[in-house]
Amino acid sequence: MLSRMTAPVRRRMVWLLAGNVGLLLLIFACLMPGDTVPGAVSRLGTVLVDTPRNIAPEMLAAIGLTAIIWTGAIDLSIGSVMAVGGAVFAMGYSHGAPPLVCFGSCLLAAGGLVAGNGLLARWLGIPALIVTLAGLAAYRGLALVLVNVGVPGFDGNLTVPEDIFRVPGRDWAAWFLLFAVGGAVWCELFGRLPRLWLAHGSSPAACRLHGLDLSRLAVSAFLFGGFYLGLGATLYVSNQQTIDPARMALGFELSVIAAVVLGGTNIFGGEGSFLGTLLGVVFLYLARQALIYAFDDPHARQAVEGALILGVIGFDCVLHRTAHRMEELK
Amino acid sequence: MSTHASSSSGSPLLELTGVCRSFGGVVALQPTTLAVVPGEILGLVGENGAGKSTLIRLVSGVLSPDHGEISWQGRRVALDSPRRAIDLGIATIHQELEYCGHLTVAENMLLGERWPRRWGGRIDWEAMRAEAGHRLLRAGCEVAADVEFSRLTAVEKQLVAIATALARDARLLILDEPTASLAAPDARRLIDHLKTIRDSGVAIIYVSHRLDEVLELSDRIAVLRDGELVHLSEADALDGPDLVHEMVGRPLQQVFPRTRDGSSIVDGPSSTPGNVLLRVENLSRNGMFEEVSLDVQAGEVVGLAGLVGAGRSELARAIYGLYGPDSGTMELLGRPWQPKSPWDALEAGLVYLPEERKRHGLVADHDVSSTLAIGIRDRLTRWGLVREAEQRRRVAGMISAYDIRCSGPGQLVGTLSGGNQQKALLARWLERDPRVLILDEPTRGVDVGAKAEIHSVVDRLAAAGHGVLLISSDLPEVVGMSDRVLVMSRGRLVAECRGETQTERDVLQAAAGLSSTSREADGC
Repeated sequence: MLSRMTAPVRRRMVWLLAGNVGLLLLIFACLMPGDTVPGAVSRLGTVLVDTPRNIAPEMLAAIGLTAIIWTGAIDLSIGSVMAVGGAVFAMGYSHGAPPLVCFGSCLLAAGGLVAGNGLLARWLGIPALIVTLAGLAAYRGLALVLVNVGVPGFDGNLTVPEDIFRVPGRDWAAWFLLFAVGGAVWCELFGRLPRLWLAHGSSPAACRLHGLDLSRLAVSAFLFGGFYLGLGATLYVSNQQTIDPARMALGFELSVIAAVVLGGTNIFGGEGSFLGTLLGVVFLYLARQALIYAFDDPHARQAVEGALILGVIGFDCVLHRTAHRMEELK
Repeated sequence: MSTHASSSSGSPLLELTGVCRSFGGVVALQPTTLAVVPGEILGLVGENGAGKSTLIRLVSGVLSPDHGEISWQGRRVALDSPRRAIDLGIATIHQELEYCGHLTVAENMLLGERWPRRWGGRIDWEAMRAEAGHRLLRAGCEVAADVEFSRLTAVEKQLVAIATALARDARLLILDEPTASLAAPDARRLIDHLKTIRDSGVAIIYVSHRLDEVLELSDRIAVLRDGELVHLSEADALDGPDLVHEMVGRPLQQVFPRTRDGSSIVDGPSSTPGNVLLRVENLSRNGMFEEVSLDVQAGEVVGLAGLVGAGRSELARAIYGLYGPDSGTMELLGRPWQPKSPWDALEAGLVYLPEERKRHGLVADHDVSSTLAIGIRDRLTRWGLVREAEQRRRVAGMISAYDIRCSGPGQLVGTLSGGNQQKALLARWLERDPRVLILDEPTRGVDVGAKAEIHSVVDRLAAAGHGVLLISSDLPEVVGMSDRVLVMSRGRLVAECRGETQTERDVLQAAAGLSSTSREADGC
């Protein structure tokens, strides 16, 4: 798989691997003061054990979005799609539906909306950026309408106290993550579709001349993305004790896009790797954890996180651009 | 001329009968009847806008004809999509290759096909590489199948495209300007390769502005002019001037109209600072060029020849300020020259016409007016606002002075012919009245008529005292137009040809590293 990755993606993965190790050491260093070494190791272990559950929704959404971005498209509405998933879940719960039905309807609603974005963009011939930018507002509104109409006595949020409704997001998140990430990596290793998505993003004209159906390719990427985003939404919603569609997953799309781009995927398509995305999500998560120990002020943490993303991507982009320019000039 | 025995007496592979096509009332191709037989190379020539592209697009299934019939191996067919043409065995290799740069050569070659699989539906990458390698080998192309496609050289990309087409059992290959971006040795390699393919029974339609290639390679030559097939004959029956006459409808006397006899060069030895417009001393940039020294005098056209990758364009871009050199010094108009950006160059009176017109020169979606005006935008604005009346006046003047053939200033520049696009780019910079011009492949992909006009402009500029650094892979052009020719090889200046020894042979030998590497005053 590495041999089929482009040099910038491989370089970015090396950067991220080194960065992740560095962040782990930084977290460990932050845990050390006032604690013994075994104590710090134990607390670091706790951080690591919680990692799969905490990163699962973002990781799955990032993998789904990676496939979409590979084709040269994007989905900006995934935060709002999560909110719709939450609203549908809340409707099911409030009407006494069994947990499986609630999970399934959440997955179908979120996944269906993302796949629908792809179909809409293709059939109407509108760029996915525009469709999903509209979806960003429209789906958030839809989520609020759904809970106001479909959840009796809804007063802004809905509490789900039963543990059974939080099993996928809290208890099984690591397993879901393992299988979903494994599936994505398997697809990248041995599948044809991921390579064709990259081909689509790299040169639609070349694909057309080789007789490939671009619409079908793009829609297949959105279907794949929809499945992963739907699964991510289900884990996200089922990990919350309170469902609040107005604030649920606000800014989630930015965080996911940052992780994807951080992982080496070209925002304009044609280049990238699921493995890179995986490392990008882990990097962002570990950076956030490190910042918790380093800064008390949450706003300062946000600012530093943004600066960190900009710094890592910016530095790599400068390297990438220079290499690309030299290549182009030659 | 080709010595290949034409097999035009065989039954046709492809037959066009009365095929025509119009766009919005404008006839692009008049009813045309033409046949191609297996194992022949049909040269297709004509000026830009003559209808060649329309004909190619009809045959490759990109366009459908308004009227007429297309037959394939004696049976009438509807070529309604590129896929249909590919399935029949018609492969088109366009001038600007379309490929997925980040994918491997093997993936690009097998893009529209079934990929070999192992159990469980897994792609068998090893088998895929082997299959691509086998196809490359069969087509005589020595390229590794697992290399990222964007890392190939221009000629390797062409060869892979041909290997891909042949592997799909292409019976008819259509090549549109395949050597336009290739240096002479690479072009030779490709031409030899095409002869081998022809001998294996594949028919080829070869479209090129390089008439020497067309004459050498073709068994028959078809000439299009203003959408009409005006000439079709055995290649042996034509020579260069005949062909040009058929293409433009008049004899073209002055392909290299050098009116200068050297007297336009401002007198004095080249070391006299006052006469030297541009001087470069020991300029180096790692991996691009090394220890390059040259000067351009007022009234002089200095040719810069070399193979692709010799470092000519890289040197030009460094002089223009696209990036800085690692070491060395430059002087422009007698002053130290250290440009921070191309804008510095424009302000100082140095302009650069880029090698790749479409990628680096034009914004295809802009109209002719804004394309021309962008070169003098600083002179057309007052308080940040464009003076529309002044812009209209200047643009109209440029269109007229440089004979840019367009429907008006509002026409999209991307829809102009290659020659007119190039003339627009030239006009845009000349309106600044620069002292030094760096022209990088100014006639690439330009038809013979526009080529002569561009040569004439260059000649007039030199005669008026401008200095021109002319970079060209077209040896007759660089030798015919230049007062002296500097030759680069592997990033270094290896020879300077002038006077009696300024011949294509000498230049090519120096470029290929076959002559002395010392620079001599009066020859290579």
